[in-house]
Amino acid sequence: MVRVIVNGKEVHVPEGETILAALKKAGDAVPTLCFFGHMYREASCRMCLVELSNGKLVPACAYPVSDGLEVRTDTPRVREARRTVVEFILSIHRIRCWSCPRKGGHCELLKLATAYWVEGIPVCSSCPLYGKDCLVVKGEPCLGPVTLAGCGDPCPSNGSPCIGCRGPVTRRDVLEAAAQFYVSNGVELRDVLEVTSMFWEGLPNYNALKASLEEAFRKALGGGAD
Amino acid sequence: MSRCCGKCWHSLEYPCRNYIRCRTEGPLCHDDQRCRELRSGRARYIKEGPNGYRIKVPLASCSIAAGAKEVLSAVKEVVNSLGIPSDAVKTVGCTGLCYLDPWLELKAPGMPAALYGNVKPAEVEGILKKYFIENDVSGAYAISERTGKAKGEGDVPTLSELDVWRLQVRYVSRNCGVINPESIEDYVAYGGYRGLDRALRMSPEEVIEEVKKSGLRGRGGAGFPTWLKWRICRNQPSKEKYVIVNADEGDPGAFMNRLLAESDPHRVLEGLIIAGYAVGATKGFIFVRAEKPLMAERLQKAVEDARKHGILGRNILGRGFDFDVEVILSAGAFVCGEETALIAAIEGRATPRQRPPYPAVVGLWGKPTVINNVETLAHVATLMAEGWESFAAYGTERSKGTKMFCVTGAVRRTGAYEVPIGTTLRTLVERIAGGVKEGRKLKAVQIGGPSGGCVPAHLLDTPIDYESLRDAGAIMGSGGIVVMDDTACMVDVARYFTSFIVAESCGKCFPCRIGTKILYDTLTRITEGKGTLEDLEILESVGRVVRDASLCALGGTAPNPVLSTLRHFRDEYLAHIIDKKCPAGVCTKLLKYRIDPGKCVGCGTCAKHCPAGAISKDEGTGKYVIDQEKCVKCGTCVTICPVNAVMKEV
Amino acid sequence: MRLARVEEVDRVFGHLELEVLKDGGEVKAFFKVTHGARFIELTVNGRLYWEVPYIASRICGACSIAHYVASIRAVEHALGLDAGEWVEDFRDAVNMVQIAQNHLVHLAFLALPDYVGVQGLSDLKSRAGRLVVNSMKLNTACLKVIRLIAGRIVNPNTLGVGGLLRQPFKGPLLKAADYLRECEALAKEVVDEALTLLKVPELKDPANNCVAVKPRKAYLTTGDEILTSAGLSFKPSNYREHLEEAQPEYSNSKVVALSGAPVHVGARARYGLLRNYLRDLNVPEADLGNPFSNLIIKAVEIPYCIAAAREILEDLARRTADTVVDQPRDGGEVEGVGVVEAPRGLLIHHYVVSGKRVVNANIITPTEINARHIEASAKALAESLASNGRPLNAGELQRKLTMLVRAYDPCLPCAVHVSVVRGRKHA
Repeated sequence: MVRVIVNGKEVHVPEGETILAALKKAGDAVPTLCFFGHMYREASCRMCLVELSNGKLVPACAYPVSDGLEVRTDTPRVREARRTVVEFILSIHRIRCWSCPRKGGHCELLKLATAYWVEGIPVCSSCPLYGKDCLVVKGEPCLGPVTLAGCGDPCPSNGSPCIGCRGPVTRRDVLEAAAQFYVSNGVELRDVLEVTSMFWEGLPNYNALKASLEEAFRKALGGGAD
Repeated sequence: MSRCCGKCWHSLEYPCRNYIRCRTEGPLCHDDQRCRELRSGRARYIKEGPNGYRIKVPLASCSIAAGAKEVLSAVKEVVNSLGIPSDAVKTVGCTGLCYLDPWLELKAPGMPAALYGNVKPAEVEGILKKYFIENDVSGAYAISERTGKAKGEGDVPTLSELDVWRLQVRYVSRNCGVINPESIEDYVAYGGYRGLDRALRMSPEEVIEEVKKSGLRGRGGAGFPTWLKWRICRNQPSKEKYVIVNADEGDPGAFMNRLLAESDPHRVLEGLIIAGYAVGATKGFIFVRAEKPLMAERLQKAVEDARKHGILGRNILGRGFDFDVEVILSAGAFVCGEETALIAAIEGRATPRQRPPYPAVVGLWGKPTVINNVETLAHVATLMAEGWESFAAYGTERSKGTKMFCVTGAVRRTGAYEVPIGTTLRTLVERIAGGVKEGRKLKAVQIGGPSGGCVPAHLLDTPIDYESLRDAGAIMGSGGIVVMDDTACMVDVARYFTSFIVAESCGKCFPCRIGTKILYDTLTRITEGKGTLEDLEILESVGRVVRDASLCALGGTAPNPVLSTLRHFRDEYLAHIIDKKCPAGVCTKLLKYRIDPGKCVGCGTCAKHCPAGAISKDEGTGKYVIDQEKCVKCGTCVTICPVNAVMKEV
Repeated sequence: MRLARVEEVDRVFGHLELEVLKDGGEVKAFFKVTHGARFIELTVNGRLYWEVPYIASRICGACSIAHYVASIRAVEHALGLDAGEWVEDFRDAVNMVQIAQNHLVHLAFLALPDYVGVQGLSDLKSRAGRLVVNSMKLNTACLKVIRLIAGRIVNPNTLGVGGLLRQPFKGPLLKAADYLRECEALAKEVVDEALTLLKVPELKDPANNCVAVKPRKAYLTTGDEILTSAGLSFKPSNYREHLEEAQPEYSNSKVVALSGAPVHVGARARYGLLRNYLRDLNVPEADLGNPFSNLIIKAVEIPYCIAAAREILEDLARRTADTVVDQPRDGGEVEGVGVVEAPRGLLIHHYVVSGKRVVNANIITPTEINARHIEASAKALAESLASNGRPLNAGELQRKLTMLVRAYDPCLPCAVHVSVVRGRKHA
């Protein structure tokens, strides 16, 4: 058995194991995306990074333990690295939460984005995830698809359409996909803009945002296939 | 390489232990005057040429690109008519003085050897005549010594008087430009394979000990102690082990390995065989870039010749050591220079792997593998032949020995130079490579290629060793040095190197795949005048994460160009962002093109060729004017104006 | 001559200044609200009827439920919508829990330090540690309940114009009731201890005029009638005939007078007018003529609200809910007034709706109504301290004035919702 110090706690794991096993024993979890048990250790997603005493960041799922190894799972550098990796992933991820096949299931990415306060995912990411009724599908101008997630969606979960009080999503591709979603459910641009003007009109980029929404709707109505 | 007489019994089935030593000192197994003369005569012939006549023409990639093949044909044409034996013409490798390419080295008995630089085929006849017929060395770039017998000697410096030669220590590059790289005989005649001979007389442990005492550190960039890597591998229990030469030199502008492999391939091979012996490997590989075909060819030939003469194969030199080598061509990815990716490439797909476990423990096909750089193995061969003290005599406390550096860019004398570690950048750049051209100022020195950093001019006295460079924000890398003068824009430089990394990223891990692209896009925006102060924060925070979180060293070092230029040249970034100006006048989107009315003759050529229709005639003055709003900054007008009236303004 | 000036008061919501002068023999007090104007009455202009409660609830973070409910009721009255009894009772329950929580925070953390002789909360812990800990526990429990039934701790969203936005489930209602039941003992303990510490100074209310909403059921439930201490009662829609608004030069808040005289609202006002509703509750003797007694009544209201809310929720769980939202009628230009007892007193929302949009709004918050009364009390306080021949102790006056302000628990952000500042209409 090998002695490993996880966040100041001592645990013992068999030799040949990875840091991840030690973390599990100590009860300190780290997120993983590409780790699949005992299959080949890819270590390519870089979410499970932990900090060693010499300052290096190493992936817990692949780094072997050695006696006296000290690891920390929650230092500022680790947090910054994880957060930035999630941002990287989101920057190339097609955000279509409302039609995501993980409906009623489990989206690790969304969990991570919320946990690390990464902006960019719209509010209506959790409604389909937890099986709540979608108000857009009922024709209401709910601002879920264009409002930033992070508030835990109390409004939609209580039947009230999202009024956008947390602020707009500004990513063009999300706005375009949202416009498609609205159009296919008969929600008009006019109504959406009306609701957005309640809390967003004072924002410095409101005009640009409005223009993006108008453009997105134009594209959606013009028949550009998604 | 052949037997002197019937008493020599060396063959592939029954190799003679003293085969190598016998070539130059022999015969060793019997005493015969005729055989002795045969041997020494052969050696002398190889070294000095027929009756002391020699015409050396370089045939390495750099020289060939400069036109050496044409020079060679010209030499061959006139050589007989001048009464010089045709076998005096010898094709050799590159000396590293690439700024002289193509060069000729002439030697006649009684005359000092003379080096002529930048030779054109048309000049060949004249040069040969002057030297061989008139015994006149004037016009040569340098001569070997002053004999007092040749004409014009006083006006020509000797090589040892020139800084570019004097300040070098040509430890591993001693044969480069001297021997014929395609002849194993040449190599042996000049003392080659002595290292292998000596190593095979020691135990593998003793060989490792010798390397340890020398203090040799890997020359590929990481600087890991070579002996330690070998020992770890040696201590692994597996019966199958491998040694690999990393000849996948990928840094743009770096060609030390190519130079060594093209000019002295056997030295590299010797080092590989010694390494194989030391760790207990049965097979070696040479992993070479397909984009460097001559390098691959020469290494392949060296392997075949070595096999022919029993230096590779079974029972090498009668010591019971079996070892063979295969040359593998890489498919052309920069990431293959990273050792785990190299192994993966041989196995089929070049993506790097998480280390630990390190290749010395789990490597090619899961077996313990040692991967060494070309130059490292060349050093191994040399120090085994001459003793560890010869290597440790140079260098610093923590890094012994010499290293080859390629100096390119805005210097007068581009080339590859070997200096002791610890030499300052100033010595290398200004004294050996001649500094920047007339009228320009040195701005920065980029070391280590796209993985390295920029050292600004005021830090030029930094000694070149692993630690000092790291403190200055750069890395030693494989030794590629690019010198930049005031015509270089540091933001553009960072962008260029980052673009290289973006293209070469293997895509396996998120930080490198996406983060480098973000860095590149941000840098591009800055060079186009669309940058904001926030972009600097993005560069720094994204750079930090890419550096710390990437899977392999490609990603880990990818932000170095950006981070080091941000550290040392922040004001240039600010000029691009706040003033929307490129002080060096490089970033085209920030330049203004203006027609000087004093020079304009009103021909209208520029307007005719302007793709944006931005140039028109001012009817009042008759001169042409560029509309800045429409100008797309393509630069066509600058090149096409017959009177050079179009000015680029910062 | 200035007798005292209170500024930068901590432990109140918002920014204010209270200045007491002696001007030619007469003592004058000025309650200056320096908090920046917020123009809420303009913001709701032009918005759809169902959006307005969302905006209104954001007038205040501490009593957002009160604004939310008042706003909804105003819109319903204008459009002729009836939410049904179940929903009205639900609104009462939610409002009561917020009143309890609001009072708790004010008493334990804002006002109490003065009575224990410390400056702030961290010092309070060393003097009345158990009280602080218990108060925090109680606070957390109340917030948990609010989140469960109102949807969010601040700015609720389960209620809608005309009904509920989602079918209520029995589970959360009973769970919330359970939480409240667990709190009851704790609440009693907190209040008992607080009352032992609350030794309020003496002061005679110079003009004991007050107004409050007459509850339609138990104490603190909503209603549609306003009672005054003069024995009058009027419908909310007639509020203009009795309550006059004015905008003083020196303050960003409007001030209100009842038939020309200063009037106060809040716990003391309610209790004074509606004592009969609390017959079976054991209320300690309190001098209802003393403005400082507001604190004592607040303390009493806390356990009452918790118990009453629990009862309502348990009752609601037994009944069937009629929560269907009717469609509003389009009656041209219509008006509606909604009133509610906010923690700090009477709150009035008045809208004019045309088509589906609000075209005019008037909001009267409890602090506005109290503004003139604070001035009157401050004047009385200064005069009482200067009497008996003693020279006026400026320091003591300053201190007592600060305590007086805190006794009213003014909420300045609510008070500055105006659209008219210093006589200039901003529209």
